Amino acid sequence: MSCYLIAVGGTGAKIAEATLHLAAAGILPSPCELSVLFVDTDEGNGSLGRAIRVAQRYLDCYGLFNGTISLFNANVNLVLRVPWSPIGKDTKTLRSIFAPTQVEEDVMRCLFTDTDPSVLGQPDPPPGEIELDLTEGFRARAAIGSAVWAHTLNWAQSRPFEQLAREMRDKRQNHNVKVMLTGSIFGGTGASGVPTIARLLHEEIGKDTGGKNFEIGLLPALPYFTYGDVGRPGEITADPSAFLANTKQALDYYEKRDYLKFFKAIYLIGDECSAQMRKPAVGRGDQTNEPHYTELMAALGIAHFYHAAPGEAGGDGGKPTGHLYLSSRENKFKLTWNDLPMDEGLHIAFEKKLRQLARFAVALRYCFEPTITSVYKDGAAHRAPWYIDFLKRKNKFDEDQNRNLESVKLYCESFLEWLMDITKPNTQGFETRLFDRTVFCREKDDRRLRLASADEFRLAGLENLFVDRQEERASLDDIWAKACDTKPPHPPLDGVARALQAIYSSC
Amino acid sequence: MKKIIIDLIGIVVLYALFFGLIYLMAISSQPLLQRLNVVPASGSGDEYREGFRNWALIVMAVSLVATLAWYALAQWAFRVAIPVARSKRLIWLLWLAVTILAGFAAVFLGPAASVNAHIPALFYFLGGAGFYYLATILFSPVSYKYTPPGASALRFF
Repeated sequence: MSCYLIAVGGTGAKIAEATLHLAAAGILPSPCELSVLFVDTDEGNGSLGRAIRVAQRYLDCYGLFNGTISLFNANVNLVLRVPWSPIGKDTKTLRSIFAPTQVEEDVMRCLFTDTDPSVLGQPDPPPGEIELDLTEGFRARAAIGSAVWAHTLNWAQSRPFEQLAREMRDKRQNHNVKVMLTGSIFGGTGASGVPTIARLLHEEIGKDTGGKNFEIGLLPALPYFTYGDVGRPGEITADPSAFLANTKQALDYYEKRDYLKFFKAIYLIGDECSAQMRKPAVGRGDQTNEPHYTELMAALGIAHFYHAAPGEAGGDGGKPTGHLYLSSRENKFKLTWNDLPMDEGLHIAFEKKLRQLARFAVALRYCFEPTITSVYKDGAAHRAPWYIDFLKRKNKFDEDQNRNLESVKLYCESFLEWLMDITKPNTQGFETRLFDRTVFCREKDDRRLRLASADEFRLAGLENLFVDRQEERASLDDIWAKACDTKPPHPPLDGVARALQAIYSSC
Repeated sequence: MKKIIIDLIGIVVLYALFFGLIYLMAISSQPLLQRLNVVPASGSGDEYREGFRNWALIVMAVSLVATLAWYALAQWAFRVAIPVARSKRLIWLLWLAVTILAGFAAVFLGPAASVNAHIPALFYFLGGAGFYYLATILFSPVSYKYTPPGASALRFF
């Protein structure tokens, strides 16, 4: 199956990051080819940079295990190594994009400022949105975004979209192609970009042969976070108090313009307990809103869409009778394993895969990776019997393999950093009962989180990593012993993958 | 738990085999000590063989205790060190030293032989240190299965 994920804006990037972690855990369908395209006007957006970094780390690990385990099983590729932006380097304001005549500029002023055209003789209002630097995003102004998207998105002239359309047309000849679009609809970039791209996809590809082998899904994020003053008085910035109004407006607009009809499935994700983001910022690298559990929910929705049999995710035979998926938790102020939105039949397996990846990441970072490095440098392999079984007998561990190990470790650190953020409550009184983050992270003086040191981890121990899953308790000694007692698969993997496979299977 | 039971059964079976050697050496109707022409320095052959048997049992008992103590430590007391696994070979060597000491005690405190004295001495060390070495190579808990020197070349399970 060919899956596509088009992540629009900062929230889209955060949801894509969560989806990549699910892909690493083996929660996406297998076999699965997942192509990810990041779309954002703000190329320096911190959340986007973080998601691309995770994707890169995933790519460095993909192929190590040849599908023998679920880890890094999905064939992920980035359509572009950088986000695609509708804003050019020289055209970063509405005025430079549209190059309006005087008459057109008057119309634009009416559209984007408070000028009333029926009242003559008013002084010229400040240029406001017309001169706004759009390379820092649309600042939660979907109206600006819509105008820019409509003007710049052109299949024939836009390389990633032209490439995407060609790929999708080729692939749908033989198998099912599923495209998921995600982004926030309470801001500017996602709210305007997602429906525009989706409509273009539908018109370019979806209408051919009656939509056979082609499904588009939508995952709009409703407001789930807020932030304080961004510290730029007098400038146009996104106003979190307008998020709800923006959302209502966007949904009204999609409904009235029939945008929702060509989506096979729509997953609406939001949270009434708005999370307070730590570091308010307008855009660029400063805009790094920390990951949130809502993005895990969103990613599970995406996994559900990819898993669904053709037509199953939304009505039958491509008729516009799509399903609307909503997720809710039992207790408003508590998130537990049972609240994760997953299919009944797959719930336990998915949960376990997520926990297995978490345990592997912790065990590798704090014990197995340092031990492999130490044995490689200092010898005395008898300290780690699994090292002899998997890395010395009919195998070798050299500098190349050390680089592979480093790649997996880096990915694991990214995953743990994501995990520590999604398990940290950003709402007073809220409790996330999934993982006990005190096992692998600590709070810094400025209340930001960091991964725990080896000494801190030693004191906490691995046993309590999972909350409310006492039956799955396992200490590092248990995992170590299991790894020592594991037989390599036939045919065995080469290099460090053989040891990592045994360690992962033991977690 | 199943693994522990299998290991302990293995140790007992190996111990029984070594115990059989004592029988062959000193108790059977045609004791090996006699056939190998081990001549006591003083007293009768029966008295010598009885002394040999007692000391051999002491050495074997010490060796069994050392083996079980190593097993218990490796199974229940040792913890995987963070961040880097540490060698437990020194502890294994200490228990080996105990079995060797027991062998020396038997050689110097046990019945002396005037001819072929190296044969009972060899037996004390084989039955003590040898049993400990073989038992720990074959039946150490998996997390420390290669701690005994040479284990990685001999153990494939």
